[in-house]
Amino acid sequence: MRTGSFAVTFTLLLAAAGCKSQPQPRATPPPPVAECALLTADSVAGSSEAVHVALLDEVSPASAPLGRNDSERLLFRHAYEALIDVDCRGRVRPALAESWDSEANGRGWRFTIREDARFWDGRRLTAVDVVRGWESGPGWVAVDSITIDSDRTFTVHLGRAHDTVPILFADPSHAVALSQAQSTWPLGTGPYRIEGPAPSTDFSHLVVNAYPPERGSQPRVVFRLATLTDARDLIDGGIDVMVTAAPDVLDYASKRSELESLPLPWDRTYVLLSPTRVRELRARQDDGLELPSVSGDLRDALASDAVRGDARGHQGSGWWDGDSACEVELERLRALPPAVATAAYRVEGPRRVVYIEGDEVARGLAERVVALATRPVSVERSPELNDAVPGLGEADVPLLVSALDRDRFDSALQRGSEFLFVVALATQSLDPCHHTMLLAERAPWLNIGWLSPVSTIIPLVDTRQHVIARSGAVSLTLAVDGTVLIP
Amino acid sequence: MTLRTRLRLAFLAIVVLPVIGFALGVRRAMSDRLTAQYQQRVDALVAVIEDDLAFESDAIRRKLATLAISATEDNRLRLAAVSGLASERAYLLDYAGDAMRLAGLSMLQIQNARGRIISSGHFRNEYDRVERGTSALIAGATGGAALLEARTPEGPFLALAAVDSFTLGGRRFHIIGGQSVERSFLTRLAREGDLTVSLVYPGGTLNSGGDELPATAVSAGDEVIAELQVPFIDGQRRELIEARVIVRHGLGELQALRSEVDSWFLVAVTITAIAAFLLATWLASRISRPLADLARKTSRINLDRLDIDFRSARKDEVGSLSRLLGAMTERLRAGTAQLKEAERRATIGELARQVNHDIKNGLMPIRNVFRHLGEVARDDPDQLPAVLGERQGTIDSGITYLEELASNYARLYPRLERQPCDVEAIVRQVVANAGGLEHLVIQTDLNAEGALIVGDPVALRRIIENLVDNAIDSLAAGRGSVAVATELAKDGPGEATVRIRVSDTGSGISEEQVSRIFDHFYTTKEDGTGLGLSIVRRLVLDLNGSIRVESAQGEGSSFVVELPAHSSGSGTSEPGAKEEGQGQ
Repeated sequence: MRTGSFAVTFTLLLAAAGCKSQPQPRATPPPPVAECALLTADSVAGSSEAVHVALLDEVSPASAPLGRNDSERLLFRHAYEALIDVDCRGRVRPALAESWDSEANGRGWRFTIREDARFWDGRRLTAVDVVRGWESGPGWVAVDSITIDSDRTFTVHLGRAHDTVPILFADPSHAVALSQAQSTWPLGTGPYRIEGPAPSTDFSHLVVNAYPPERGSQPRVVFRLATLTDARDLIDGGIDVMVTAAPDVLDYASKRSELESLPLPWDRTYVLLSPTRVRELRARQDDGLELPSVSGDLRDALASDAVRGDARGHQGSGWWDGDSACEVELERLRALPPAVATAAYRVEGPRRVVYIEGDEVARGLAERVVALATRPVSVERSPELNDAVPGLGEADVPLLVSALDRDRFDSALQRGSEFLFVVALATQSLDPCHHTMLLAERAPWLNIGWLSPVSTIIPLVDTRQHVIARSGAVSLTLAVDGTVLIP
Repeated sequence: MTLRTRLRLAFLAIVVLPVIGFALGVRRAMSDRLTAQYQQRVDALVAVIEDDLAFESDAIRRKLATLAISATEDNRLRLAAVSGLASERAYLLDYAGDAMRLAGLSMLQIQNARGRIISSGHFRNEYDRVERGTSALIAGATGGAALLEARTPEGPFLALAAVDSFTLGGRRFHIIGGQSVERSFLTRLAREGDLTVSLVYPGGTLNSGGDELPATAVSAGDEVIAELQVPFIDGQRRELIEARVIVRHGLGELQALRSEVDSWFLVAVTITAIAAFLLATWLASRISRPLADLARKTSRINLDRLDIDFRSARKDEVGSLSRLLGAMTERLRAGTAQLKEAERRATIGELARQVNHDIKNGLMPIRNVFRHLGEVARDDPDQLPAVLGERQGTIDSGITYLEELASNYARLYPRLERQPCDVEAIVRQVVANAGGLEHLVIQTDLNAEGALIVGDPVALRRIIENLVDNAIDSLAAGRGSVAVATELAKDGPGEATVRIRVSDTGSGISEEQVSRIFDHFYTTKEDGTGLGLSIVRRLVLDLNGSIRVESAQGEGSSFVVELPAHSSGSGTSEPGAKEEGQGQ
């Protein structure tokens, strides 16, 4: 449906390309800055031919270019480019697009692809490739239509006016990845090209070679997938870069003098999503009543005791807190019929608090929620959690923790078919409205548009990763979303 | 039921019933013995399981004692548990999990003196949960260990738990640890594949085999059961109750053995039955065949055939019987010869008397004619030619009758000539011949005009003549009347009978005489031969008819002859119907 509507719109706008309004004066992209550097390689240790990077989570080519976990985000960030880039200070830099300007009072943005933009196979990247890449991914959510002006130029029409270039085009969801029938990995244009194993290769022992465009000028990056290996063994095996939050690994690294360990920004917020809360909020909506969320004390307690690793009670505001600027997107959602969770919880069998298998933070939080909801407890804060999640304190039906694989979890989240979901969200967003739309698509039963995400989302803890790197072996920088980059 | 069948059944019963009884006895003895053995095994296993549980409990207690010592020596634990050092909080929360894995236990909790969980190995984040009294309940259980349902985030599991304690900084802590009791645990207890160990507790039933088994300890007849009481902590009511370990030994092996034995016994009984049947058949044949031969020979005996050979060389009862039958046949043969001789003599005598009687009957009308002629010649000679002419027919008829009679006797026993005979014509002729006597009135009432019978007209005339003569003879002094009546009676569809009734007004016949009147040589006349009515009856029978007598003492008698009427072609002549070509 979306592809069809896109094709129609694409054709019409392509025909009307010649009568579009005059572009505004082109903005001059600021030069790269060095403030985002995490580590700098020295001349001795950094002279090796390859940098070995550990990937501790599962990696799948099917997820490209939008990573589902830290390892995929780390790998894909090096392989697939978006139109623009935003540094750790929020400054926009050219990436695939060498220039851009606006039209229609900021509702249309015309991008010009840089001339040397090429896929790994040497083929030139065109505007059509960009559109096709978006078409198959979540990047299309924020776009009204696209006009192809030329091979290198196209105009994106948005529902909402932007004073400056929309930084959602720096989001990995707008990176370009072109699926190829002959290749395991989608073709990218990033600074490193992936030469992975054959499609039949067992990805649990994946070794991905990522080469810079010009060999010799930069070291090769070898990504080692080690989901079944103790990360400390990787350190002992000479890994150069590792991103982890595991306390035992960090503790081990701290005892190795040749390693440096740096905390990364608080980039993940674990939240509870409750169909019963949404249902109760909808019931109270007419009366203007709200449901309480959890207090800062409980969040801190969860962060300090329930979660292993670097965590804190959720602080500040997430991207979901301010939706006033997203009225255009919310209006679109309100045009759709409200979705209802298929079941507040299972009709037969126990209620389940579910999380994605392998996410230890989510597991700890789910465990603690179950422990607090089950009598007898001595923590006085448990009623607070029961108030935040209606039905949590019912003792008649057992409440259990259950780990679901990612697909089953996504399916359950889509239908709202479990009692409670422990979900990791990005703490910050380049474009909160874009993430709001993505969340609305991921969990329609949240009724975003009718209910404010700030009332439906129960934030618990923020977490952050640490980067462990061999001292002087590699230069690292930090992206705006907290991803570690090898320049 | 034949003798042979009886012999077969008797033999079957004699042979098969003991075999069946033997089979049932063996089967029962085998079942009792195996069941007793199974019961011994089950009882022994219950004792072993009791020892195993005690051993497991001891092992858990030893591990807990070691962990307690280790805990008292751990300064980080001391700082976290006693001083509440926040930096060591995570260490405290993870302590039980690490210790549980090191000790090889399935559950481990460290509680303070008030029952508050400060570290849990199997449910890390259930810290601060209060479970008062658990340690005391375990300590108070028999053997110092008890079953309980340990909670995990994913659901409860059953564990055999023991308790120990240690002191840090003057504070007492309880360490509760245990091993999970799951199917593999019970399977290990079961040891043998044919034994099933079930644990029945308030939360459900756990079986070593995995199949759903009844929680009852009552033997259902297909298994042998023994059970053991094990302390169980009811988490809801916080009290110690009894769970049951039920050991079952299925009788499937015994059932299979029974089935196999049954099959073999069935085969044996079948073979025995077949052999007994064949043997019984052979013996019955040996016994019954001579009897059957005797019966067959005996069935062939009649007066015409008495040459059956009953000779036998057997010296048993059958031989004696055969010889007795042979002697009897010999006697019959001798008696039959004598009888035939007597019959031959009687027949010759009867023939002579019959010839005498028939000739007399033939001569009587001639004599009457000549007596009449004599009277005419004497009294009225002029009328003699006329009377002679008038009675010439009677003379000729008598002579013809005598000639035919002579011809018949010449053939010794004439074959009756079967031809349609006009009954009334013959009746009229006989009545005409019988006339001529004074005071004698012969009345006729002929209602079967044209009625025919098939037979010899001479025989029919002899029947009617004899009856009419007898009727005349019965009249006292020749006074009275004789009536001859005919009618055609129809007894049924297609069957008609010509009925000839000859009645007289004589003295009648007594009942005794009626019963013997058709016998040979029985007569009430002084000069009678006693053959007249017997010949009449034989002739009637030759014509497929019947004769009966109706008599009343002092009122006269009636002889009724019924002869099948002749029908030309398809049917019987209807009354009054005349057939073409038949003369009067």
